[in-house]
Amino acid sequence: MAHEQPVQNSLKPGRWVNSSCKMCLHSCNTRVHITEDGIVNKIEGNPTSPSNNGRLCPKGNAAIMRHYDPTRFRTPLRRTNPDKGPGVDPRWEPISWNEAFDIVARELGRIRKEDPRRLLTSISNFQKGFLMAWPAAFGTANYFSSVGNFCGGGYHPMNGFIHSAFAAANDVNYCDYWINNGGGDGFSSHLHTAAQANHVANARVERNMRVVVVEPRLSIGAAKANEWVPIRPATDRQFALGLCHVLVYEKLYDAKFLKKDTNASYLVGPDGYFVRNAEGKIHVWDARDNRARLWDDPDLKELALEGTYRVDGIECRPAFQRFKDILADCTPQQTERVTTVPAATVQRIAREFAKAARIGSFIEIEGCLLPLRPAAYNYYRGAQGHKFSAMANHSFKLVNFLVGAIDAPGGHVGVTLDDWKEDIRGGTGEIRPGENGMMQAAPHQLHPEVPFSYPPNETHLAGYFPLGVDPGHLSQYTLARPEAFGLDYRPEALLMCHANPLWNLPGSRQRLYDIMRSLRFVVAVDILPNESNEWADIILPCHDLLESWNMIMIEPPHHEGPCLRQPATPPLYDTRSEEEIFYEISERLGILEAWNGILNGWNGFHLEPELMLEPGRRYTDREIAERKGLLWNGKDLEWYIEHGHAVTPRRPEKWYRPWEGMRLHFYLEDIVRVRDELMRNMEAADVAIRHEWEWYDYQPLPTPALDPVHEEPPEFDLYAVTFKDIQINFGETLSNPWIDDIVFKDPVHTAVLLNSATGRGKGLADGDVIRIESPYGSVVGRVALSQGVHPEAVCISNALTRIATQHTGMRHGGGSFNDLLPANLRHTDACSGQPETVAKVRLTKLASLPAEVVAGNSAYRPRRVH
Amino acid sequence: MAKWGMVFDLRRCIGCNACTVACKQENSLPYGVFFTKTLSEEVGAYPNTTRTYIPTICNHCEDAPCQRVCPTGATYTRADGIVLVDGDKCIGCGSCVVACPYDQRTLLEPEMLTRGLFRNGELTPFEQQGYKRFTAGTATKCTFCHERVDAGLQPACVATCPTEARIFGDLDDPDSKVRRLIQEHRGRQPMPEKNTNPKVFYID
Amino acid sequence: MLSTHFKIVDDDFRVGFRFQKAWGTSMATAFFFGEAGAGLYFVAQFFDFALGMIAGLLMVMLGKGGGHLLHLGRPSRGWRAFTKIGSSWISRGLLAISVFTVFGTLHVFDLHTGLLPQAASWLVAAVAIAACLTIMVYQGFAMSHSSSIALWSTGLMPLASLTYALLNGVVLTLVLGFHAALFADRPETVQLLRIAAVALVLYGVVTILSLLHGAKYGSEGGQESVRLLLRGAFRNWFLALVIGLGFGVSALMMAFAPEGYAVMIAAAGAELTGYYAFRVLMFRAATYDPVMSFAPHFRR
Repeated sequence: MAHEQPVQNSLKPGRWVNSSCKMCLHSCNTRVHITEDGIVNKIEGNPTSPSNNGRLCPKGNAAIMRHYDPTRFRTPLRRTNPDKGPGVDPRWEPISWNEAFDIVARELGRIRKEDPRRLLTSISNFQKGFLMAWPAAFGTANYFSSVGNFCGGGYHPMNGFIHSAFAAANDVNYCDYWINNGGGDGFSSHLHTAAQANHVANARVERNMRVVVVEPRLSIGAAKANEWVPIRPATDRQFALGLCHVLVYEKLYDAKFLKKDTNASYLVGPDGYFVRNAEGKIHVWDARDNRARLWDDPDLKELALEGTYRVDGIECRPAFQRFKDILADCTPQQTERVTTVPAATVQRIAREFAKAARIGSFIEIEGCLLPLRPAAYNYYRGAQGHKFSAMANHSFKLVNFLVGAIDAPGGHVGVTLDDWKEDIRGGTGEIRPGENGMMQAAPHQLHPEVPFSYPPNETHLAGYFPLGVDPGHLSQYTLARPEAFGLDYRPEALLMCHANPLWNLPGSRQRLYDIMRSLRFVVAVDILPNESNEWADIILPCHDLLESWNMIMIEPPHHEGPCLRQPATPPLYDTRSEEEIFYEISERLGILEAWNGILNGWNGFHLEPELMLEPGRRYTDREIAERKGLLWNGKDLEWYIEHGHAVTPRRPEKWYRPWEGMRLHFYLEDIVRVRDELMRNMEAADVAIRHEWEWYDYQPLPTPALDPVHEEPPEFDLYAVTFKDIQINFGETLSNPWIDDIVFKDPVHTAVLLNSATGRGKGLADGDVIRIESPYGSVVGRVALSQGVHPEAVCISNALTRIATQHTGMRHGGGSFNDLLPANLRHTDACSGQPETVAKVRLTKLASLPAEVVAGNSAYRPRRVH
Repeated sequence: MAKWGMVFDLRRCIGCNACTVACKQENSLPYGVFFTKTLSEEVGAYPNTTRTYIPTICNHCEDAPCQRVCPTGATYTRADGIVLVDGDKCIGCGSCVVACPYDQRTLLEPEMLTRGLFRNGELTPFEQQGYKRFTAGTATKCTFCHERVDAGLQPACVATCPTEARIFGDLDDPDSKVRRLIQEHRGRQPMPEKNTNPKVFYID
Repeated sequence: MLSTHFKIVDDDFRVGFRFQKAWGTSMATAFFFGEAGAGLYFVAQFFDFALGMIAGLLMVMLGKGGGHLLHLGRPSRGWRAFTKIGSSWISRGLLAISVFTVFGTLHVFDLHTGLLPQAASWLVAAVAIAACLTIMVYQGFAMSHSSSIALWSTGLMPLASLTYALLNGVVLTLVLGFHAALFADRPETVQLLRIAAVALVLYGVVTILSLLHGAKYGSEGGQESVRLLLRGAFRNWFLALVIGLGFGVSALMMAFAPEGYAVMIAAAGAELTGYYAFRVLMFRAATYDPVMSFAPHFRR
């Protein structure tokens, strides 16, 4: 076999370039091989990275097919087809950059002069997160997207409250008992999957870490777990409260931790506020001397966690007692009724969890003595994505609180988004002391609070969510009856960057399409066609992950340090970097200085004045990346080009008890204060909808109240949930042929999953066609019966939810799952902005799939029958 | 001389198929062609259900039936145990495909090399540089990344596996990780009753 | 019938049965012409029946040879298949076809012209028969040369080949020789051949049923193949064509039907139809066993 050249791509003559991946949110370190002819023919994990250790998930391995996708946007494009609709051919006409910018600047300039609020934005480029702050330079806070709030509505604020961090994880270094509830960490999804899966596999196999997975579907995590606990959808909060009940009533909790490191002993009055003296200092109860004292009284002998007391004539209880009172209604038996998890299982898991937590034990890590609590409860979208999201997130945290496992080795720890400097836990993850000995809570993890306004400046009412993550889904609710909300303008334009709002927003597609049609002007900055940018009037094509510069850290749970992204090839087409595009638009709009100011703030350049961007200058993606590297560790870009990254294991002092000496927020008085302030503001401005505002949602402690999804009419007898696995999480990869190859051969992604007994009871068999209908919308699909599904659940993979687009390589499904979901205030968490992500549905058998569903490149391709 | 073999640690595999895609990358595999794939199997009855993920690959059998039946000698075994196909000798009779109990061999149809990964009749630059190694009408299969191995590297699927579920090494070296894992965990061959003596072992 | 846990999974990433797809209709057709042609030559040469021998040679050369060339991915390299006679049945078969073609043609020519001396004539005839016999059995050996496919991996496969080849040869001889002087003058020869046909059918039925019996209890894949043939998607084709038409109708006609050209053609047509269906179905119903399964660890 005589070949002059090797046949294996990584061995062909060429060069390797250190870079980082962008096939999902996160930035695993990679190395990219380019042949002598300039063709990218292999991408691998970078073995020098302690994070992903040379390994890559299937998405990272598929990046080459994004780079060479023939449907990539190659030049700026102008729409010539005035008709807009799903699957409608825009009939793009190539235009010059100058002409494209002229049009964009003209349209946006006019809006900015008349009323900048009329611009909706949908910017979801997390790896260049500073772009998400551009609308502030323009003067609009209108956010037309569910990115950040579909999965993280209550999640991010609560991480900010508890850990002063963006995300959270279980500490795989020391954990012995790992609970995953509605999240795939370490198995299929969420934070740096390739890295986390490595660490978790080692912990399970080498240290015998026990894994318990609580969710309605037998996910990858549940398949690898020691125990799968099936649970009725949208009842995870009650499961957590059931665990808390056992921990509290069987006295399995870490009292010392609660007393010393939290505000659980602070006295709370009947109005939900702490009991304060005239100077604002908070009272506690001294159990030994049986009297009230101030929290920092040097004569304090012993803090009381329980009891009812009177202080200055006011009846009050320690926050812990308030929680105990709530938990009286969360017995294992009650928990079983709500969740279908057997009471005995709730009890057993709570006891196992407490025992594994080894309350009272310590560990020395790098010379520092720390509490060791190797039991941790982790969770994410599936568990927290419900109406009472803030409460749900809080309840999961409290399970960890009770065994002392907050930010402790082996426990549940905060994860920062993007530390800026090596020597502080920078960015929004910075720890600051607050009032009365507590840590400063930092619920605004994504952007600063949007101020209250009436008439509302935002169609998605962001100003009414002072704690929340942008509830982009509410735009379709307000724009359907704008008078009721007092809206004094209508959106006219939409700017999208790296976004697909028509896929991610819950609610009615038709209403979204109506909004899109009502806009005069839509511009999209993107690389590939999708459901949303095919509505655009102008496409501004940008560089892809192999043609651009960036420096980013982005939520690695166990490591720190930035990852460089550098071009592997010159741009294949006439594309530009996002930085260049936004700088050009900003300069033409006259907001260049404001934009540079925002960039300085977001990227932390204000911490090192010599790195600051000058107000009137434009910078390349390379220059900004260089500054971020210098900011981190003083190393210049040449150093990063050679090494690819500055990733190291995160130092223990950065994530174990970084708040040492401060008290954590067991009880969230801030929520009560924010609620009352909002109420006052709405009252003063006479906001009409304050009478339908969901005031119950603001709870300083979680309650077991049922999410309203459980109260839909009884003929909707099942719960529809959606899910992703590692091939398709946190990104759009279904258009990639290598991902298509592995996803549409996986049985969980080729049909709607239904419990076998439930299906048979409805007269359904494998392969039958069904309509899945909620009170809000419907989709169709083909059924597969499974033993790995809760009897009341209907599981629809994200792989089956696309709508046919101009990218004919991407398979469309039976309709958008999000059509099944409501988009209204009733099913939105007023506290956090989280929309409900589960739908009650009923099933109807159909004779066959509708013609439009099986037309073209359908995920429900005809199956060969034997 | 090494005797190369592989171990699949079923405790670790999460069925992500990163291996499958890494292999497609490394070997420029056309649409529908796989040198390795990870299967899943749902077992049990609700609520005592689980799913096992089972990586599969050419087993580079010591008594390879594909080599036995090959009429041209295109299929042969190297001294280090890697079973290869000489694309210049293969006539595409398909005997090896029906002889492999593990269904790990593929006949390259001409359409596979012309239709393209995006199935639009055009080959991307990646495919153009990669498909040169293939001859339409011949049989092909996993080569244990023979060129990477010769260069001292791990096979692409092994290198990329996020959970380290794939281990490659010298079965004749008593200190190698593959040997130790097979002995400590009673590694077993797939379908040993087929009498092919695979050099791939599964542990769990 | 034992219940099987597995399903046909096509190319899905699931544990289950997969069909073999490498040997399709063109291969089945080549195999058909191989055993039909070789069998015809074999039977015909006992009667020095030139027409039969020529027809047999043509069927092998064009039908089998052509079918194989159509099937090969690189037919221009077909000559390479001579190189592994030591281990490969495909190689051996190609050698047999080549030898058969040359020596069979030579034998017919010799028969017609008396060209060769006595000893050489005998030798040529013997070599032609040996090569012919090889073709009649080697396809079965090629199919069973590996344990991979339970339906094929049986010692009965070469016997099935031989039985069918003889049966094909007998019925084709009866048809082609009907109007020949050879049979017209010797009714007892015709009778003998008809009895031989019935006997071979009986032998064939038992062979096929044994083959299925062994496959069913050989592995889960074999069980699935047999299920498909007897109760599943291929049931109609197998029972009606292979058993009913190919064995039943042809044997009954051979045993009881009156003399007549049309009768012979009908009977032969039934048998050959059944045989072709057998060849196709052996390929279509062939499955690979699942590589590994944990189903036995769990109860449904």
